[in-house]
Amino acid sequence: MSKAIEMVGLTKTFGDLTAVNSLDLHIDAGTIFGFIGPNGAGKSTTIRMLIDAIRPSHGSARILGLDCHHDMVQVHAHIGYLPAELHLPEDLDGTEYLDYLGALRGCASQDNRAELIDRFDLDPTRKLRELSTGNRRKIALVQAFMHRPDVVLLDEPTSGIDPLVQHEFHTFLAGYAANGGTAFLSSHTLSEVERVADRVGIIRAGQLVMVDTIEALQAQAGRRVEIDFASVSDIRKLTAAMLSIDGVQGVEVRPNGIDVTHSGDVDSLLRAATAAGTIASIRAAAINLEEVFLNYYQAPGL
Amino acid sequence: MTERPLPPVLPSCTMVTRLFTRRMLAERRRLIAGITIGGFLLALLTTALYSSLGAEYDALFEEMPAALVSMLGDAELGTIEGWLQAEVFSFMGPGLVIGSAISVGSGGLAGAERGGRLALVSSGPVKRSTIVISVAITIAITAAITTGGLVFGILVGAFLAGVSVSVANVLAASLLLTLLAVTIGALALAAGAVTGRRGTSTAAAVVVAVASYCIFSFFPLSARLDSFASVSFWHLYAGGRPLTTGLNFAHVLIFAIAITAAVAVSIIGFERRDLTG
Repeated sequence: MSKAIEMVGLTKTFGDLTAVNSLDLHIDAGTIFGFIGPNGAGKSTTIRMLIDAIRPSHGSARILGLDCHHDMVQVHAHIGYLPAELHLPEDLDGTEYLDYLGALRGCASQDNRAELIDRFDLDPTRKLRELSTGNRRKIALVQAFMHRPDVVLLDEPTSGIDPLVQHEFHTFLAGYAANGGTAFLSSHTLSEVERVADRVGIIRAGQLVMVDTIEALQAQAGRRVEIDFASVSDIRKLTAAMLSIDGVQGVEVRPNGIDVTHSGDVDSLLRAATAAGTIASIRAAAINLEEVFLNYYQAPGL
Repeated sequence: MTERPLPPVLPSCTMVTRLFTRRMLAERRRLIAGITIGGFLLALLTTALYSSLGAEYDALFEEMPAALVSMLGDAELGTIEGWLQAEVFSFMGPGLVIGSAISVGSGGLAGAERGGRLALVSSGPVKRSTIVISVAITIAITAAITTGGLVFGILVGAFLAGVSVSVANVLAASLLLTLLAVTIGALALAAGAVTGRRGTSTAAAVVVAVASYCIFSFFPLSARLDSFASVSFWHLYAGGRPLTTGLNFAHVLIFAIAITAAVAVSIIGFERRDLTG
């Protein structure tokens, strides 16, 4: 599989602040890469280096094998971009603005645009100044995809958009990737990333702290087993026994039971629990990936 | 998305420049129209009033302090050329035309960048230099249109009042005024391109314009400073008395060099900088 986006030692400093620190990352063509992290982590800075709005202090970035700075015009011919903050000209309506951006990109056909407008339920005849935040976002979505780009860089694409259109967008994005398109998706909405991304990267304080596939993260995340006891002899001893079992990541003690986070087999957990007391009930559920992401956000020392 | 992307057919630089320029002019159409109509009315009324007021003002000028007369371009109000120099081309007319050029120069690049309006257009297959050149062209068109309002006003006013003016000399003065405004606007563009700050861009251009005017108007009053009076853009504009002597091609050439230099600095500054929006 060819690399659609490649970053090597990509670094950006602003005075004493290192906004992005030696980012090494590649994204295969035809995949959706979720890029997440807390505010100020360096997500938008990374995207802005990819579109050559800001220049790396060190390292380089390539899209479709082309250098993002030296081959900027060719790179821009192949990408769609949706910025986190939108400032649209107030004197135009949606159609006029899309015509303008389409002409700048040499986008002759309006078939794809019409399909996107219909799909995202957008009324392009209204003046941009009259549009709600969500409808302005829809304009931005349409312009990002209307020229059939090979790669899209999306910064908070569904912020302010209603759930129905969000769902439609996620379906559309999956189809886009299935047809060979590559999406670099920066988002605060962890459930969105979990739903649409093939791989996820977490950036924190400018550093990439984790990159993995959604499947691997789900396997790693395991499940949470909640055990309620009718009676228990020694809860501390039970906690220690649980933590010594392979695959157990954490144990939380409740007044009448314990919650065990683990990715191993349940049998050893049950043996330890029955040895410690009388079990009243057991519930098990897969851990939401959001919790995994949040752990990475919050983990000290990373 | 039902099929793989087609190889993009990129628009030419000329086409992109045309698109940008049209958009910038459209965004400023009310401002440009307002200034042009204002200039037209100023020139029309001033020219039409020459027959009735020119002689009286000439007598008044005889008694004015030299500094005040110098501020009005050392004009002789007894002639239509002197009258137009003092009332249209010394202060009010240049103020309108230069103001419109500075507005485009600072707003077209630094203003658009700070306002976040460049983000989507600059992510297209567009060179940064093309954006800068488009703003420079918009400055020139804006200055030409607003100066055109003055010219049209003078010609209509002269016709209505039955006054004879040299159309060639009025056009010469107007061309030099346009070039002065484009130069100041290009300096605003350069300051905005290098710093990315609209306020700095406007301030730098206003300082240059005011300093040029003051050097040209007041330095000749001092024997010590007189020889430096020609070191001013305003001297290139009005120093050759274009309303009476016609176009000074050397001044046109110097303006052209200054504009080219300012645009070159703008391109280099804008190419090298991180964009803020």
